[in-house]
Amino acid sequence: MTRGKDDRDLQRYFDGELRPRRARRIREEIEADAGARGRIAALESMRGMVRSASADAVDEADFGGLWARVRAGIEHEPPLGLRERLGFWLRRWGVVVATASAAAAVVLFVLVRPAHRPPPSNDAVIESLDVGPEAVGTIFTIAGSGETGQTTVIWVTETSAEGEE
Amino acid sequence: MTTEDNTLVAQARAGDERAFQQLVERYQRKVYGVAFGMLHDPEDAMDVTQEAFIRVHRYLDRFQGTSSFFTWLYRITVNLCIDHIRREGKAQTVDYDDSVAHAGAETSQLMPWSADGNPARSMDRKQLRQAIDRALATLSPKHRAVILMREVEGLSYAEMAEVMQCSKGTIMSRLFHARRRMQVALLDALEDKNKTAA
Repeated sequence: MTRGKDDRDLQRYFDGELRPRRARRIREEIEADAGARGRIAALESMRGMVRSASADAVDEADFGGLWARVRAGIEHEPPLGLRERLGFWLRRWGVVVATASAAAAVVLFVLVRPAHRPPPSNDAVIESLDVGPEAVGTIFTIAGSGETGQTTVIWVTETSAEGEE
Repeated sequence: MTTEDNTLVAQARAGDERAFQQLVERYQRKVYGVAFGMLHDPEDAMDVTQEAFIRVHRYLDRFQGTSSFFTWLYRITVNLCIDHIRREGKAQTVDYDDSVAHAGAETSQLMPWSADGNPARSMDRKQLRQAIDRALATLSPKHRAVILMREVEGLSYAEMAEVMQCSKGTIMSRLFHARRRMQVALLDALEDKNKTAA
C-alpha cells in the first residue's frame, strides 16, 4: 500500500467513515500489508491512551456542586436584551422578510408603473417642394405631436425678393 | 436527537427545571471531559462546563432541533474553550491553515509503533496521562477539539463538522494532522523517559 493519500484512507477506515465496499477493499489491503497494520495498531493504541487519560481526569472531578452553580448562574443571568432579541429575530426571520419585501416591491412596480408611452421625438422629415422657379419650398413633417401624431409645416421662401422679409 | 433528549429539551423549554437538571446530569461528564482536554485545568474546565449549561438554558428557545442536542452542546463548549484559550493568551500554537496546501503534506504520514516504541506499553498510567496532556498541549485549540471529539466522544466526521461549523474535508485534514503531531509528541515523551531511565 502506498503512503500519503492511503494514510488518509486508513484514517477514514479506522474511523468507520468509508462506504462498505471501499472499507472491504481497504481491509483486504491492510491484511496484506504489515506497515498498514502497524499504523492502524498505532492509531488504536493512541485512541486508548487519550480515552484513558480523559476518563481519569473526569473521574477526578467533583460534579456534586455543578447543578447548584448552573442554577445560580441561570437565576443571575439578565434577560435577553432588546438588541439580542432583535438580532436573533433578524437572523431568523431577516432573510424571509427581505425576500418578501423584494418580491412585494417587484409586484408593486409591475402593477403601478405608468403605461409605456414612447418619449416625444424631435425627429423631422424634411422634403423639398417644387413651388416654381422663384421660390423654394420645404416640407417639415414632425412626428409625435398634434392630434394625428404628426405636424406638417410647409415653408415657402420667395427667392425673387432677396433681402426682404 | 434521542427521544429522551427531545422530551427533556421540550420540557425544559416549557420551564421544567427538573428536566433541565436531568440534561445537565446526563451531559456534565462529557462536557467536562472535552473542556478539560482543551484547557488542562480542572477549575477552568469546571467553569466552562458551568457556563456551557447556562448558555444552553439561555438559548434553549433558539435550539431548532435540526442538529442533535449534544452536537449543539459541544459546539457551545468548544467555542467557550477556544474563547478562554484566546482570552488567557494561552494559544501558543498557530492553527493549521486548512485552506493552504502545505508543501510536502503528503510526506506527513501516520507512524506505526514498534513494541519498544509504543508509549502505551512503556509507561505507567500516570506517566501516560502526563504524556497525553503534554501532547495535547502541543496542538492548536481546533486540533485539540477534533482529537477529543473523535477519540473520546466518538463523534462522526459529519457531527464534528457541525460542531466546528466547517466542512468534513476540513475535519479530516485537522484530525489527520492532529494525530500525526500527537504521535510525534508521544514518541518524544517516550524518548525523554528512556533517556531519564538510562
